[in-house]
Amino acid sequence: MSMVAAGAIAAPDGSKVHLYESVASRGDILSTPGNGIGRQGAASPGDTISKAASSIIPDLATLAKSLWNAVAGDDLRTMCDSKTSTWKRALAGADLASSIGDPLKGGLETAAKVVVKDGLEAVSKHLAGDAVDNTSKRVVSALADDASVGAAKATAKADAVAIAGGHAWQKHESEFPGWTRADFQKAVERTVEHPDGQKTLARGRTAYWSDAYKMIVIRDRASPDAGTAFRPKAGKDYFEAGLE
Amino acid sequence: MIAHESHVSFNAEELGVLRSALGEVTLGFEVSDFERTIGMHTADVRSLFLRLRSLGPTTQGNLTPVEVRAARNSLRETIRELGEEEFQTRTGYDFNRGKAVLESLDRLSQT
Repeated sequence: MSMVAAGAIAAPDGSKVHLYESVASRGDILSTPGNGIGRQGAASPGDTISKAASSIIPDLATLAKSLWNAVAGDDLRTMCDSKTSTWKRALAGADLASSIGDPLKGGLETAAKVVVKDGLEAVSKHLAGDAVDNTSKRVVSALADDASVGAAKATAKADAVAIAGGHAWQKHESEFPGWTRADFQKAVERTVEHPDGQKTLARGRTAYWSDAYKMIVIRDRASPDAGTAFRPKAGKDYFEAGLE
Repeated sequence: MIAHESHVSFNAEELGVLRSALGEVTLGFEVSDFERTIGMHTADVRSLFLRLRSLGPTTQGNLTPVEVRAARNSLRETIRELGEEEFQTRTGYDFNRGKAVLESLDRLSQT
């Protein structure tokens, strides 16, 4: 067997590259003592190299596979184990979250609904209460005002009737020339309702002054006629200084 | 009221009755022949009224014999003018109380 035929590989340009040259360049490895390769024996260098290569290549393939399994497999196994652990934890967490989360979610929803409902009801009641309370107060106040005004008007009219119907008209008629008793009564009533001056006197009496009528009205609960009405000599000076 | 040699002392209520009467004759109603009826000039009666009013309603006071006479005449005219039906309403004092003070002054003037 020629060395070229056994160890040559056709090059792209048609020339022949001799494999043995390449193998020979590693002769320091191949020609180690006792491995049957090299210069001992009668075999040609091409046969020796060919035999050595065919024995080495399967070993290299096996070695590469072993190395791959040893290295890449561990990594993958570690990675898979790691991922599996993570996935398991994730799944366990998901299950836990699901088992806890659903009731918790429901609970929170219920609690939130209760809080919101109670809060809204409380706010509604508060607002409604304020509204009702304010409305009630306004109504009561308005009614009280109306009642007060109505009572005041009724009392003023009653007192005017009593004063005009009592001694005052007969006693002071000459002070109001041209007036009738009805005129006197109306003037007393208007003076009490819309006085130009009013003052509280001793012993439960109240005095009212009218600029228009030049009249003073004194309401006196102790009087059987409810008081009196007249035109004092000094006019308003009597109202301001003559009474106490 | 207590008569002294130069003046008469009145308690607060008595002075209040007299003060109201002085106010009535000066500001409230017409008094015919005022100076002769009251015994004092109108301006002096008004000054007396203002002085008593300045003392306040709870203070006792003293009046001279001339002032006592003017006050007594003013009370007499007030009781007559206002009558029982109006005395208390205008003065704030019971009609009988007014009459009692007048009677006391009458007795005082006789002594």
